[in-house]
Amino acid sequence: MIDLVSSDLVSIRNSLQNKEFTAIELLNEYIDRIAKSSKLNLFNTTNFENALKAAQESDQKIIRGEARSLEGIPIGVKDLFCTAGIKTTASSKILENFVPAYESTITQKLKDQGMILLGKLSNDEFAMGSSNETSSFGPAVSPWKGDSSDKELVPGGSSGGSSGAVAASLCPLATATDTGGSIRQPAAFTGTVGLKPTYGRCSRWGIVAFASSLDQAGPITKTIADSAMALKYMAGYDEKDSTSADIDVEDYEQAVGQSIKGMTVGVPKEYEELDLEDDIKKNWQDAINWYKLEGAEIVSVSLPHSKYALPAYYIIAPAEASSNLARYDGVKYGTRMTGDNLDDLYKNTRGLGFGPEVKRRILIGTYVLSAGYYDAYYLKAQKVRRLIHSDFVEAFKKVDVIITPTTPTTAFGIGENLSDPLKMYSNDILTVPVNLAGLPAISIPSGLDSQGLPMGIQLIANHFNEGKLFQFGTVVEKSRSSITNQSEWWLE
Amino acid sequence: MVSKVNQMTITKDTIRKISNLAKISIADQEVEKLESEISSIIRWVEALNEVDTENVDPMSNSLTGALRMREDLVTDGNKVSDILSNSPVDDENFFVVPKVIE
Repeated sequence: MIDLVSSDLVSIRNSLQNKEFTAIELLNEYIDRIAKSSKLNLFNTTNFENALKAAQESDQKIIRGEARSLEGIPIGVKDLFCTAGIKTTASSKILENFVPAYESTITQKLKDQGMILLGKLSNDEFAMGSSNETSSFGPAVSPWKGDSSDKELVPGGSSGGSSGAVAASLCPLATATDTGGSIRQPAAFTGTVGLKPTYGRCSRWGIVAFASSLDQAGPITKTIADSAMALKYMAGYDEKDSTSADIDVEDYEQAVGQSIKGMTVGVPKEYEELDLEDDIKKNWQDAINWYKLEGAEIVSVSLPHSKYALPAYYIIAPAEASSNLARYDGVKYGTRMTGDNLDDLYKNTRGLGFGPEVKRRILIGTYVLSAGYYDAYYLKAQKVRRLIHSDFVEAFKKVDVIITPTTPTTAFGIGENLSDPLKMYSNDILTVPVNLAGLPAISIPSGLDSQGLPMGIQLIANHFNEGKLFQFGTVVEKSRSSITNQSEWWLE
Repeated sequence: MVSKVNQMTITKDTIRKISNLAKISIADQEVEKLESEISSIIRWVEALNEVDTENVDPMSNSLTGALRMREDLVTDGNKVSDILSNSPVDDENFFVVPKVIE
C-alpha cells in the first residue's frame, strides 16, 4: 500500500527510481483512488487501459536501467490540451466527441520523459470561468470543506479539475492553463502550488485557444520543488508556436531553497486599498514578515494602473476569444446542429453548442471589435495594457519579486456567484494584471483561514525569472502553519 | 470618441445584431437577460475612459521582439483521413454543408 496522500512528485520519482514500488503498483493505487472519488467530478475522461500498458513499459525501462526523467509517474491533464487519440473536449458540448489527431507540445514533452496519462481533467468551458461551474459536464467539486460546514465548495477555475485532483491526491502533477488567473486562483482555493510561467515560456501549440496573447500553460503540484521539477520538463522553445521564446531553460530545481538574504520583496501599495477578506489581509502581512525574518528587504512599489486591469482584461480576452472560437462552426469538427441553410447551421450549432458564459464572452468580444467601437474599447484596452505593463517594468527595477495575496477571498460555495458575472470576475483582481504584462507568478499555500480553508500567497517576478519564484516561494512553504485538513469526506 | 461611447446603450436590437455577427442563435427569452448582463459589463469596462492614454502605443502582446518568420515552405501534409476523422459529415474528401447557391 502506497500512501498517496503524503506522496508528491519528487518523492514518487525517487521511490520509482529506487524500486520501492513499481509503476504498475503506483498506477493501480491511483486508479483505485480515482474510482473512489467520482463525487468530485474532476475527470472528464479516464485513460486507464492505455496507462496500464504504458506503466508496464515503464517498469521494463526501470529494470533495464533506461528510465527517463519522469518514468512511470502518472499525470492528470487539463481537458484543454490535445491528446492524440484521446477525447479533448475543453469541457464544452461543442467538442463533446472531439478526438485530436495530434498531441500538444507540452503533453508530448512530458510523455517523452516517461509520464503516464491518467485522464483528462475538468475545467470551465473553454477555460472561461473562475469556479469550474461553467463546464458542460457539471461542476467540479473541491475536496476541501470548511470546519463544521457541509457546504460543497468550488475548486476554483478555470483549472478546477487540475487543482482538485492534485489536492485530493488523485495525481501528483496536473497540467493547467492560465489566461487571467486560471492556474493560481484554483491553486489558492485548494492548498496547492500553481505556477503561471512567463508568456512564451511554455508552448501553446495544441492547447485549445482562449485568448492567445494571454494564455500560458503551467503545472499544479503539491510543493514548490514539484513545481520546479515540472516546469523544467514543460518549458522550452517550440517552433510550432510563433510566440514561443527561444531562451534557455534553467535548472529550476536548483533554485528551490536558495537563500534570499539581502534580496528585495516589493509590496504594491495600491493593493492595500483592495477589498480583501480580513484573514487574507492578515495572512499577507504575516508572509511579508516571514520575508523580513529571512533577511529580505521589504520595499513599497506602485502599480497605479492595476485597478484598470480587470476592465482591460474583460475587453481584450473576450475580443480574442470571439476570434479564436469562430472556428467552432459545426463543419470541420465538433458537434453539428442542423439548419435549413449554412447560416442557420452555424447559428444553431453555436447557439446550442456553447454554454451561457462562453456565449456572453463571444458576444462582448464581437461587440468591442465591431465597426465603430473598435477604437473606443479594444484599442483603448490595449493602450491601458501597455501602462499596466510599464508599471511592472518600473517596479522590477527596484525589487526581485512582488508579493500579493492570490485571491480576495477563500473558496466559495457551488452556485453562490454564478448568477452575478461581475462578482465572479472580481475573483481575478489580483491575478489578471500579471497576464496582461506577460509575467511569471506562482500561488503558494500560505495557511488556513478561520473557516479552515486554504489561502494562497502570490509571488510575481520579472519576465523569465521563474527561478526567483521557486527561490522565494520556499520561504512561504516553510514558514506557514500546517495546511493538511482533508477529512476525505468524498471517498466512497 | 469618448462621447460616442457614453451615448451608446445596449438594446435588445444590439444583442440581436451582435449575435448575428457572431453567428450564434439566441432564444427570445435569452435576449433580455443578455441585454442586462452585457450592458452592466460594458458600463463597468468604461472605467478605462478615466485613463489618459494620449501618446500611448497599444500593446497587443507582452513579447519584446517581432513575431518570428519562417520560409514559406510546406512542412506537413497528406493527412486527409486525420483531418476528416472528426468531421460531422463528409463525402470523398470534402466537408459537406447545406447547399449555398440557389
